[in-house]
Amino acid sequence: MQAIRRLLPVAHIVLLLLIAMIAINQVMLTVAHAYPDWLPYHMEGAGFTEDIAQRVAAAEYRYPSDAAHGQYLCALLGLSSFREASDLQLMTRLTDDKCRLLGLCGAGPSLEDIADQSASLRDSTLRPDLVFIGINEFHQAKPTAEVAAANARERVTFGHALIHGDVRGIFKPLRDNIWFYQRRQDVSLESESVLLNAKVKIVHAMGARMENPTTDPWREMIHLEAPERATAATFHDQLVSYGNRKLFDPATYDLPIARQQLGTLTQLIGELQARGATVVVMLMPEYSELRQRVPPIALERLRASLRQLGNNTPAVVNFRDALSDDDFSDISHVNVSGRADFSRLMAAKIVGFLPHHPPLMATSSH
Amino acid sequence: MKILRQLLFPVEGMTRWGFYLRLLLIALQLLLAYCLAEQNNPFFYQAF
Repeated sequence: MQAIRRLLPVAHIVLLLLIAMIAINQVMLTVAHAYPDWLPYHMEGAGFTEDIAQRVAAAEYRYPSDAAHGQYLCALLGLSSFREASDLQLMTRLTDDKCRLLGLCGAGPSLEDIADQSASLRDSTLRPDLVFIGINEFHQAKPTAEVAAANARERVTFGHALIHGDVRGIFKPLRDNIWFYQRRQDVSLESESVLLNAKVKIVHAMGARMENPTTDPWREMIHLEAPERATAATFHDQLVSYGNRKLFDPATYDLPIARQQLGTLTQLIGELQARGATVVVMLMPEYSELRQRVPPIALERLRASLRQLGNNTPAVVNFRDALSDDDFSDISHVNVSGRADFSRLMAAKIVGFLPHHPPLMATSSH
Repeated sequence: MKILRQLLFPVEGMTRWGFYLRLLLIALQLLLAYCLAEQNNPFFYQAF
């Protein structure tokens, strides 16, 4: 009894702190409803498009002097699987600084997202010597509204989870209603950029020169704060979700929408080649169960579509089984060790595909 | 019920508004610390 009495002041403060946190969360949720854009979304399609456009604009300004010094420009295009697997600093070091790496990967489920989010590169004056397009063969399947509905039906409701004592089902909806959980990365990235910008301003005011790391075109791509290894339940949920997207159904790859997605990819390749770039299509590493469950027709359709480019058919690098399952954080993203392993493989490929002529923009910069 | 009511009141020796303000600030700091720690590289401030 004495011990409980001694703990009472601690319980008092903890309880009040919890109430304060719930109140703050409710205020943040209300503000988010009234002003949805007050905090920029960095981890969504539009956020990535803006980030990519800024990188391209900064590279247009910075790259010409690097080209004059003989450094090649290599652009990396893709979705989250490529973004998460890339350590640009490591790749730059392993390629002996022979090229500047411009990370232009965004996020999304299909090939058209790559084309849309990297439109600023095609609208720019940049002429990359080398472009790697990192994809998964199932990116030709674009999710439809029915798929979203099927995934929503799979979701366990809070009441159902409570009745059945499903702890995971109880905590997931609670967690999803915490504003600070939903927007943690945006808060983190925004705070970082405000602090770094302030640092740059102070350094400039003192008369010194300093490159702003938040606007540097060669900066690392934004990475998720995924755990090193998701739980077995998460792996299962993801496979179910991919199943709902019909990614494991051969008929998916015969749908007109799959042909349209492949058409978008070949058009993107053609546009980049027309600017003088060597384009390489890279099949990203996949978790073994995912790789086994995607039907072979997906890869066949992809290769057939690329062959339609005739003499301009790009080289295809197949990294699907290049990493072990230990290198994956979840079924479609690598973890920290996977990123290092993939970046080493990637660096070797970059060196192998570098052209034997001077950088394309070396001549135009003189 | 009496204990619960007691728990919701400020501790002794502090003004009511001072107590609740400090409580809110600590809660906000904890939430922000959570957001900042949820980074791939939690030592981003080494950039300073």
